[in-house]
Amino acid sequence: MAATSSRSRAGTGGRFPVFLTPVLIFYAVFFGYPLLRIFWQSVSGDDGFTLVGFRMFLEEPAYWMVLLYSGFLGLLTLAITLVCGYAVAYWLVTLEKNWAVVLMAFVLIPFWSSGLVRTYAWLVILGRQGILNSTLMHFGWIDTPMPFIGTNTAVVFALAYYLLPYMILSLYSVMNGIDKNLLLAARSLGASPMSAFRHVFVPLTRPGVLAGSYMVFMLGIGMYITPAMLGGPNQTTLPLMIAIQINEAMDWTFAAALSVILLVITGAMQLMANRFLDFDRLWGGAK
Amino acid sequence: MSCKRLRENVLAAGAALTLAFSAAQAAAEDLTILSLGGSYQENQSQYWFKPYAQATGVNVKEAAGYNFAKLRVMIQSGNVEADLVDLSADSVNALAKDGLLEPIDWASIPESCKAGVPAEMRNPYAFPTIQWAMVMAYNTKTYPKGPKSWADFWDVKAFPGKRGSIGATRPPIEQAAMAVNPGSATLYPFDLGKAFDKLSELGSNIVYSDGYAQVVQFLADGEVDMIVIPNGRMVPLIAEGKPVAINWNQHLRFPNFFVIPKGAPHAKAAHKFLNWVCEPKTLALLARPTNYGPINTDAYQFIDKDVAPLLPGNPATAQLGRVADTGWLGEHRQDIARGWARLGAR
Amino acid sequence: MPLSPGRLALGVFSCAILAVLIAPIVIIFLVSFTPTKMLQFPPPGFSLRWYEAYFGDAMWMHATRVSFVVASLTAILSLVVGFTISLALVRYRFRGKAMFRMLVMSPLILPKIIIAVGLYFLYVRLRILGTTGALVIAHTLIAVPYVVMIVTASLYGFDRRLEWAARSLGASPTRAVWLITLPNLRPAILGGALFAFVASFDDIILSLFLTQLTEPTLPRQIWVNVQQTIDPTIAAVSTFMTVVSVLGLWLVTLAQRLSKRSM
Repeated sequence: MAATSSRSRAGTGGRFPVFLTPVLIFYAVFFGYPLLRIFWQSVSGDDGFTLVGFRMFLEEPAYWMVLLYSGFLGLLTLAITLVCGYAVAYWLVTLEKNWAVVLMAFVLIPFWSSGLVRTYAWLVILGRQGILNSTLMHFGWIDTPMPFIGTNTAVVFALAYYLLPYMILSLYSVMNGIDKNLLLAARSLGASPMSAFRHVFVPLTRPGVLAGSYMVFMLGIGMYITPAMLGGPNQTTLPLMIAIQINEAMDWTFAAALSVILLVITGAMQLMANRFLDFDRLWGGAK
Repeated sequence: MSCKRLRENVLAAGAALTLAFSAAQAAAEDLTILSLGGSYQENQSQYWFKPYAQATGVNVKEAAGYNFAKLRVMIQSGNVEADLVDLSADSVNALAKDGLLEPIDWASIPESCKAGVPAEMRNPYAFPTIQWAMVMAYNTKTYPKGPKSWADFWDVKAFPGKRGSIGATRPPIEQAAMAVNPGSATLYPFDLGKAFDKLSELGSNIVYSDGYAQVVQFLADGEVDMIVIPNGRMVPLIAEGKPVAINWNQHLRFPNFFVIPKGAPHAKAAHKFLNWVCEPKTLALLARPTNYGPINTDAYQFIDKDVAPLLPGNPATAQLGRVADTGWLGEHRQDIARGWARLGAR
Repeated sequence: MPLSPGRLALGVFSCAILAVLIAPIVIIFLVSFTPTKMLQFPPPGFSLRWYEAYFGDAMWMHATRVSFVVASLTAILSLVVGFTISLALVRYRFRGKAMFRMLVMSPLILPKIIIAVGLYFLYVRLRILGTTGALVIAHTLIAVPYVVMIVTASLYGFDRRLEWAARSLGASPTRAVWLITLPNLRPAILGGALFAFVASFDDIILSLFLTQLTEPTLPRQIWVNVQQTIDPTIAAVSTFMTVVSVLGLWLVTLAQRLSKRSM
């Protein structure tokens, strides 16, 4: 049947979408220039062309650790938000519409307040005399306040908190569009609820999972204010290093070099992902 | 309305407009001052900027909050939005080195202003105003005896409890160096490696923050009991009656300056303001509300006896500390950044 | 659906997470009424002084207006640009598509301070530095990735037969998209608009560099406060932002319900 051709595949052949041209010009002017500038700045020092920025990175193992930590933070945050986000989104979808709308407000409202102030609220909550410690001590689970500030726990928690709504909304918008009849059909064909969930529902949520994961990971490795406010030296991230180079060390060549390294690595990751998971087929090939 | 009437009216309106425009021009000059914001700038506004505007009729516009990178790109690109900037010493060095500051016309500054300014503070590109000091502050309930030196700050046995400081942007390495060599008479130059080793010694006993305001908040909340902090930041806590005290021993003084960025649109107006604010009497007005000391020693005549001991640089406490070597610090910024990354990688 | 132990556990878990999501908001709300000069939780009393400080200060009010305008314009522009890009990415195959996708997504990872500095020099050259439009363009760059991700995810699942049906009835491609595709993608478009608005409304770094010194945005004001004082004004500001948007959301759903009823 025409079932496969009715899906929105990238099937319009090799034709270039002409309507994209104004957008291309927009990006060429407003993003191309800064991007080229970064590349140019990364290899120009006081005396012209130089690779000292890249050399500084390669010669200092501490900087590799910082880069690895940023990646680690991104992955850990992704894992947590994916598990929590999937559960919440699925639960919301199974609810009656009115309830789902009300509870969705809980997800949306945090968006509508300053991210900086919310991170600050976590400082207050996780402090030694903060609510978390007070509650734990009240119930007798701990004797002395636990030091949360300056630890990985605090940073991961705050990052996951900040990024969770993105994941939930990504997943929910896709889950909402899944025809419930599909699940009923699977059940009527004899599948158990668990099986129907695993083999019918989950694969259909892939676009949302991919979109949400991509967003959370990329945002996670780019965040620096939250780790700076809640973490210690062990929680130094690459974006923070870049900011320090610009504001304190005033070495813009090195800052640009670090940015190029970050761009190249994430770009490589994207290219690899493209090769092993053909996004177009994956996202459209669920049926 | 006939054509003739219309033309007459338009000409009259045009003339009135031109007159109004030029009259406005002649009456009010513009001056944009960029400072750090918060209560520091509120005090500057109350005692310096607004009185100046009232006295001279100059239209003083204030801007608050900037980071160094923005300042630098602003001047480099020729798009200078501020005529006068309140700047700390190491930023002054960095900008002056790259030729991004207008020279200060010291010759035109009144003698009454210059007399009390120490020779080494007469920077060709910056006018010194006040100085603040990086001091130790502590909770008097936790430490009734009070820590006396940076060695005490590092002594977790005699003084158990958490310490606080800002982290990545300005780790407390001078304080660490003073703890490494407690008896030493000189501080600069010191071994950065040893200083960072000393910092890692504290381990989880120290909590790093992203800004001074956060550090102070931690002390007020009881999150930490001892902090490294600019002295002026303690003023609101002490005013609220919190059980805190400042230890002036081994403090480090950092001067602040007014600078005129190169290419400032109203550089002359900025200079006129400098000639007005430099008077010792005017400089002294900021002492009580901010607890920052005037660099001009003549200003102390106008400061009350109860405020003077709280100010960095005043004769009573000056010997307890020293002026920070911002030149040396500026040269080693890259090493400091590297040291911080290494601290995290341990 | 029957209440199995599995579903109960899922519900409890989800509610716990939702509670954690909303907790800081509640705390900020309560702190905004503290009479003390410093942030304190729980607040020892009740006072409206910080709301007075916020509403009574010309700078804060101006910053709020600026941020609102910029964020609204950003949402609109990013929707237009983002939807166009999504259409191209989902329905067309062309050379350099992967590179283009990476280019569009890279503002998400690149530290904003780098983008800010680059745009600063560009804007100076184009003589548009400090203008609202320039800031809207900068915010659009960082907001478009969100729009693209959300819209493409929905667009992939969109049944094109609806569009083709419209085309076969004589509609031009543009009209078909406008009348058929867009309404069906409403959740994705609203989601994208929301993300774009928030990305702009909450941005500190780009605003720090690209606004005039005397014309701050709301996040810039909050940032200066956090750097210098940390007083409860920021709690009042944040709560105000939340309340306004909750009201807005509620009004929108109310309007939708009313329009459905009248149909």
